[in-house]
Amino acid sequence: MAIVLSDATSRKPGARIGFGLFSLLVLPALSLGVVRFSNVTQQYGVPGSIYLGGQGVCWVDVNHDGRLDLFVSNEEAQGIHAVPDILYINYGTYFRDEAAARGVSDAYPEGTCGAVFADLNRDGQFDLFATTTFKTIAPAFNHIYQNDGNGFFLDITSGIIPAQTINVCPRGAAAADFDGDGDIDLYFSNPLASALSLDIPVLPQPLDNFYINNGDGTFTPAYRGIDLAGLTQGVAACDIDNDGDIDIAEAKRGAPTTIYRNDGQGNFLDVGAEWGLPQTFNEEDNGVAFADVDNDGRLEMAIVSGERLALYKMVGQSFLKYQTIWLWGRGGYHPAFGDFDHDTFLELYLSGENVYDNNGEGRFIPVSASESGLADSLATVDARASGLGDFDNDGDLDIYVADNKSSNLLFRNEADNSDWIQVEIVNDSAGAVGGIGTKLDLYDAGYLGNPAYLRGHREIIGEYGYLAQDMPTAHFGAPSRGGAKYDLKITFLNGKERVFRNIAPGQKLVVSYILPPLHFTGRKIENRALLYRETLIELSWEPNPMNVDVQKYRLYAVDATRVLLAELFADTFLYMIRNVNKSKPYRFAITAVDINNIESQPVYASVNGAASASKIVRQRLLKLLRAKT
Amino acid sequence: MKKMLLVFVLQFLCFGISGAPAQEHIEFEPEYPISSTLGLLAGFDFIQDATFQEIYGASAFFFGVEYTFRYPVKNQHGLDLAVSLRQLKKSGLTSYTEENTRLRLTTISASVRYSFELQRWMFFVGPGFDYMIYKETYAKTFPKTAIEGNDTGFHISAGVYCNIVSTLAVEGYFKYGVATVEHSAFRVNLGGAELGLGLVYRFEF
Repeated sequence: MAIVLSDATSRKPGARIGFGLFSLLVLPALSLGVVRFSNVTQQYGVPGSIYLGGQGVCWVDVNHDGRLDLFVSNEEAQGIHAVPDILYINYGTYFRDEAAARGVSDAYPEGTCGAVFADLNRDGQFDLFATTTFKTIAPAFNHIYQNDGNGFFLDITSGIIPAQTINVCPRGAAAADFDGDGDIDLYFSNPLASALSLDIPVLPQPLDNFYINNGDGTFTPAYRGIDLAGLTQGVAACDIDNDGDIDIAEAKRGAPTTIYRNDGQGNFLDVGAEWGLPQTFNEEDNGVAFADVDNDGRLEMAIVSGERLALYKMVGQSFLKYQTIWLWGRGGYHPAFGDFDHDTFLELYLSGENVYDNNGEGRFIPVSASESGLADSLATVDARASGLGDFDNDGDLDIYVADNKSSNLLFRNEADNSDWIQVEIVNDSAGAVGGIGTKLDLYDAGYLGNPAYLRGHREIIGEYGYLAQDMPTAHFGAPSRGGAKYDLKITFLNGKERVFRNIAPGQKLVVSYILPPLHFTGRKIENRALLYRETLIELSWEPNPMNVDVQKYRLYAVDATRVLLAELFADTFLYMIRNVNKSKPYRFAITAVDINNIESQPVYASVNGAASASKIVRQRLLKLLRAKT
Repeated sequence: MKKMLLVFVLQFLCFGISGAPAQEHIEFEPEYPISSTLGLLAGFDFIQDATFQEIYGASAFFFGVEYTFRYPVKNQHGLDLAVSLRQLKKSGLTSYTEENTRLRLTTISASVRYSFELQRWMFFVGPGFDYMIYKETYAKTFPKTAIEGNDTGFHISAGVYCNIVSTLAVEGYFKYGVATVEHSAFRVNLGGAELGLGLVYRFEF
């Protein structure tokens, strides 16, 4: 759907009418692709709280069933207290709210705003950081919930951070490895109860607004240079200046929306003015988002308020505004970027508004509601965050919109083609699932690294816009016409890269920073003496050529739990377990561990039945191993 | 060990020869008195068990002692009662891990035999009973240190004595035994063929 319509760098309100008419009449006929959504809210049973109050949206698979689940944070609405948060578990054909049963319905009567899922303890599970937005009831403290691996959560806040004594009212929150030490830290905005009333300029206040991960499962509250100034709404945390660390942008009311540059050590400096952001105090910005909308490998910025969405491009060391979309009071909270039509260029969806097509140069053109099927989006009352996720696993991006004063909405993308590639990071350079901070670049096959053939640049972001977390899987439009294939470069936060070549569209790649070994198998063997017959299990594997710095392998026995059997040197490819039960079935897992103690995903092998192996098998195996060494 | 055995056999041989009366040629008594023999045995066991053969090889050397008591029933025909004690020791490797293992098998046999004496030759054949004491010792890395036990079996044997002098004979025999050691999950057949040679000192009552 790449259509060039305008060279204008901004559109005034008056131009909108013309654009609207044009889009209604002409655009559908010119469209090369189709953006088409269906409202499936009732079909899947995800209308949100009966008390309304929808604020934030997170798409994440909390229970490892391969289907995205949906977390909706709710704030007190319509004067009704005790509006619980929602955790919709995806059962394929329907969702069911299991927040209470799974322990994340939140204890604070006045609700939650910012929430972000991240693997805080590097156990391969998405844990939840849910902030608490103080209004009138104290105490109002943040919560950290640990995922038990099955999507059930335990509030471990009191055990891992010092007792909270100050009521807070965060909106945006973020999770990323801010200090580059290999674990996920947490950031929350508005670390003061009275911040909600700070819609006027105030003197900056240095307050603890980070939870710095100590690496041992505990966190230390810290101030790292981001002052409380005005009321922060949305927060986006990503590598804005492409220097390899995670910066933070905040959309503010009562203070200029700004960017805090990370010095690489987790210390931040306000560079909003230096980087060309408007220094006005009267804007009421709600959301800030970053995405590479022109496929040049650098992130553009979108700042949204009730009045307008402003798009900025980084030129040199400064952001320059190149397009303004006037909103007329609708859709002023959250901008979401996704390649909905699979043309390799990101479209823009404004929460509670409509979808805008990308003209191929990063400029956005409205798509008519009749074409997009998003008329119900335009009918929302007070749309807040919207999250993008492929909840039905059909390869395209669907949209969930939280409405503060009406039913939430789920829009299913009807693209229904195989012109896409998804990349899920199951194990990043910090050993965490999700890959927050990881960058992904998709090129035409054979042109890896050539900017002219860059078909998409993505960065996995914890939370962005206004309280939204898209599915932690990078989604690319990747047209398959002519048998096109693609090369992918993944750059982890520590700078190390992994390359995949000749990827056919229509598939989801599951990527790990360190990969498990290959061909992990096991068998039972009878080791005979004359008067004793020992059954042993011989496990063998082969090194994964994609790994470059494997230090050791970890071998586990898998039963109801996973028990470490042995840590083996990287040049070991055979392990024998002596004197096992002859008839009992066994299951094992093996992982590779790198120099930074990052452990790969496990691969499993089952060993069943009675022993049966001969010396010939062993000799063949030994010969193979000798050949490898 | 084998050298010591050889020295011992030579000493035994010298003792037998020296105990014989000086004669220019051997003359056998026309009658057949009650007699006994005491001798040393050595030979090879060919244990049938496939695992034994895999671990220890096709055969195993043994040595032992034998005592026989001969009662002449009629003319050359006699009835022998024989008791022997034999022991074999052999080292091997376990079938898969190739760890060292060592077997010690001690067999006490008692047999009743029909014997027939013809000039300097005496042939015998008869069944017998075996009592075996076994011990298999393993390498430190093996899950077990050792397994030991005992069991019984049967055999049938046939052989011949050849008198060198009146008090000394050379014996050759064949024995086939059946002895199954039962374990919970498997059986071990310690029986099989045995070929042995003996040097026996003969004396009469």
